[in-house]
Amino acid sequence: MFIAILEIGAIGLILGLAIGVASKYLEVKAHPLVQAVYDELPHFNCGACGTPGCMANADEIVNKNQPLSSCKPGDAAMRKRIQTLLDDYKDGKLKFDE
Amino acid sequence: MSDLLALAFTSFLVQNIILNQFLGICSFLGVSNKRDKALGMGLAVFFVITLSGMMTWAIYDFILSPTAFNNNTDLTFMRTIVFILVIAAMVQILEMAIKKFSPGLYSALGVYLPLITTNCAVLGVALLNIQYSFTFVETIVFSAFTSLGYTAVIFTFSFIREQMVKAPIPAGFKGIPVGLVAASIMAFIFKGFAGLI
Repeated sequence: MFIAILEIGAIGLILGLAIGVASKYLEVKAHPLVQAVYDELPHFNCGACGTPGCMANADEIVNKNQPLSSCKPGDAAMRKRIQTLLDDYKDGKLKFDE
Repeated sequence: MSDLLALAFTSFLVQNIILNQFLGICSFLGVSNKRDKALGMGLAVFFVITLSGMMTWAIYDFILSPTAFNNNTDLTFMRTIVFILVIAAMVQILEMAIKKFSPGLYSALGVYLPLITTNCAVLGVALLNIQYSFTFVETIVFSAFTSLGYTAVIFTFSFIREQMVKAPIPAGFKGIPVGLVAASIMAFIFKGFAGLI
């Protein structure tokens, strides 16, 4: 049994390292505003908003005017924080280092 | 050599993964409505099946099988979980690569790209390689031509789907239902290849 645990652990470790290295080289920078909105979303990836996940929904909120209420698990406080982010960015109060 | 040719031909046409073994139907119906999407999906599946087939064969023979390490511990019961681990990692890396090099294809494939992990065609080929006790070369040929069969069928089917949009189809049959009817007729046609070998 210990051999089984060791082997599956070793395989998992090697694959995990491979993914880690690959994510370093294949990283795609998201727009910082999309990233900021994503950080506020619940990260459930439930799909209730109609997009494949929270990252996709953050993208739609920023670029396609998806209503904030589309996020079903999110509460009023979350919507308020995201709305502040969007308003601040529009007014030029919020700036990102590009 | 002729054995390998026969194996390639069988896995590509006669034992076609979609139309004869009915594996991988989900993505077959899901992304076959546009031909560039279908081709992208087919190539992604070709890449994943061929590489994961080779990797799972090596892991099974050199790590899990009783003859590995000469210590007679039989770990073959772990093959399902280990294979899924390998396939999931491969799909993850492929997803990152497509996201970086082809963002258009990435958003077109959408949720079907991570779902290659649960595409039963991928796990099916990995397990069939073991079940038929193939050698390494046979594994490569079988995996590559099975997945090319998938690519060929999904690409052909996307042309039919594109034309079907223009046809006057009753509302209840539009989309997936008439797609399944067309797929079944294609499966009948592919049965005709059974007499070749």
